[in-house]
Amino acid sequence: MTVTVQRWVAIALVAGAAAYLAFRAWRNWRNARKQKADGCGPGCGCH
Amino acid sequence: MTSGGAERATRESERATRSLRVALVGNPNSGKSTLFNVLTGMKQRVANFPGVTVEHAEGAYVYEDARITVLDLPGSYSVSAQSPDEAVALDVILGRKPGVLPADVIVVVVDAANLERNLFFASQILELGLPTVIALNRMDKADAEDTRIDVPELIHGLGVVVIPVTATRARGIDRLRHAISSATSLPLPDPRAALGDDSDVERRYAWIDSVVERSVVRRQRDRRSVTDRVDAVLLHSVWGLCVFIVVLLVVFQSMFTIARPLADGIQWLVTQAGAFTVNVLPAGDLRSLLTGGVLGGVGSVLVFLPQIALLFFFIGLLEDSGYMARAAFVMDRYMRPLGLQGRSFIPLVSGYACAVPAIMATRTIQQREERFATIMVVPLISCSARLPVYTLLIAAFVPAVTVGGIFGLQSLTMLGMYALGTVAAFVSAAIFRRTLLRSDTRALIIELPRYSMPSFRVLAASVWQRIRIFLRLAGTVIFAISLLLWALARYPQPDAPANVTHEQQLSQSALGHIGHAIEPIVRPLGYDWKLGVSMVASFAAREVFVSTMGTIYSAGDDVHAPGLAERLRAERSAKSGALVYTPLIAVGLMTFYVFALMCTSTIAITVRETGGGLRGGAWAALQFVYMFVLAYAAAFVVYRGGLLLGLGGGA
Amino acid sequence: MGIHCAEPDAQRLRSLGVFEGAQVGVVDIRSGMVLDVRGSRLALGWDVVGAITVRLARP
Repeated sequence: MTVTVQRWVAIALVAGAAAYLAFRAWRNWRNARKQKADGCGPGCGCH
Repeated sequence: MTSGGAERATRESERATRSLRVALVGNPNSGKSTLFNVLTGMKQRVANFPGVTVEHAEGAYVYEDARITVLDLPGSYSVSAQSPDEAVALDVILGRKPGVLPADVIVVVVDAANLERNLFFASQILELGLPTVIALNRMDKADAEDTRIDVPELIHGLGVVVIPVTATRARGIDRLRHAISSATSLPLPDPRAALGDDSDVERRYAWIDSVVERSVVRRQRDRRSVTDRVDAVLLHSVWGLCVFIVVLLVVFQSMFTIARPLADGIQWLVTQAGAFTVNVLPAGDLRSLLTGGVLGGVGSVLVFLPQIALLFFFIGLLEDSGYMARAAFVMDRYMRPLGLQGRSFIPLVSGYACAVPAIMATRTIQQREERFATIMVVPLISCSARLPVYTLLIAAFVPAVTVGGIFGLQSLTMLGMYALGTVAAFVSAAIFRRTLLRSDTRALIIELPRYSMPSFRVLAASVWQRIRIFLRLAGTVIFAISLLLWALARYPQPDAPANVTHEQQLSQSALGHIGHAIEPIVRPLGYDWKLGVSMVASFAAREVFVSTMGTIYSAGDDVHAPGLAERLRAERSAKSGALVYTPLIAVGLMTFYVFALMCTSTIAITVRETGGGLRGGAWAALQFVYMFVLAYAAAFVVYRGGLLLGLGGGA
Repeated sequence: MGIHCAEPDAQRLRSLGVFEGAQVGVVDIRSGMVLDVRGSRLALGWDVVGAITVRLARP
């Protein structure tokens, strides 16, 4: 695997991770707003 | 209406005729949750803690082509509910809870070994006149005590179907499923036989006595002599406390001894995976991401899985064996001066596992002020998420020597951290009860369930559930954060990478710049920028501290080196060559983690359980701020005090 | 037996089978009180104990 390919795969993975964390934050925020928060975000959450 | 819409409507109505909602109710300790797990094949949607069902949990199974949805509801002694958890049960049964459909069939779980008291609640449910089935649970216990229950006679007396089951051994479940599915076609219980409200208990108990007299034969009247003899010691105000402390010591010691080889095994696997990656891939960004970000970050957290599983196992053991209620009774007299009753003790002990179910468990406390005070202090109890932090720092900086022949210094240090958090929780509770949350302390009234050998099946299920939660956390949030931190630690790269050491590269990376910005805040505590960054990242979840340190210390490496602990111990300042991390810094850091509230789940659950919205938000904010101030002050005092005493500080 | 305590506590005790005139066994009175109520054990904290009077039943 060339250095360039490695770099692009790494960039894609990191971008995916950032998008995932942003999505989670948004979902938690939405749930909290809906007063339906089940308290199960990241951390020692329940499910 | 389009034909597609019509088709969908038909399908839905068809499904409606073949689905059934079942509510499980009954006294606390009647084995509802176990029965729920057996009925639904342990596929819950909502996690419950052993002994503490406070919210309804929903599960489902298929029986004769019909989809049966089962609701597991909190245990209740009476329909005139008083505590928030009991109110949930009644609201669901009567269809008063918004968003939850009312149940078609009610299954009352009745403890066969404790029939009269259980029938009190059951008789109240029968008076609602809804389709009801009685699951006569713990038949094995009743048999062991030579209690013969004449089921047909009991059916005659109660006027509904009674199915004997033993949930812990999955006996009688098929018959129960059949009874549930046919309950709606049977005659309803007769509400005309109502026995008045709760104040008319004498009549109700007289009726129960007459039913029991006709259907039950007890050979052995003095059936609890063993339990009573054990309780003679365990309920003693001094001996009981001593036993409790010894139990805790044994739990902590075995957590260390048993978990060690398992953790070493996982570490070995992670190291092997790193070596494999290096062999397969040439040097480059992806290889660095896999060794540094994935294995360094996620791998360093996975090592703590055995300890966390063991902790949940032991707490489940204490709860399921019936010991927890005794501990609450013994602690009642010691907690009263603090303004809490013994009942608050159970959420506090659950807090050793996780603050989220512990805060939910405070719903069994009836009085608002007592309940809020308990919620405010529960996160001070060291939960399983702190374990990785403590274990890493202890393994790195506390020598593995034995004290007094039995206990290792390492496990004693760990115990000290737990004790520190526990004492802080008690003191804070006393302060809250004397200032913001003043009220009379309600009396302790608690049932002491008989001791029983916990079912391995049930324990294993709850431990497995925790393992899944932990793995999911490691696979999602910790994984994503590790990748991001890896990127921050690797970029921007210097122009001539060959001439730069790993240390210099790291220092000039984005993460290095963030770290140097944070450094002034953590400097008074003796920490360098790497610890600062890890601490800030761990506000997402405490375990992230370990994964971040793991990522930082392997981001520049091509070969994944084993053991983060060894690296921390060996880390030296680039300028002075002095050790960067000393035992004093490690103890200060652990102290910070004892007190600080770094768990978004706990914050969310506090908001919800203290009323939600702005009011709940204010309580959660207060909780976060007071704990942070406490953490910073304590870490400062430890570090500065240690320096004054000449204990050595590091770079 | 007789009970004289705050209504919410009394209500709770009643639903557990502890009410005026009920027959209970006294298991432990060293710290708080442990009662045998129809075969189940009920532990009561110090402050409820003062509100409860147990009279010896006729054999």
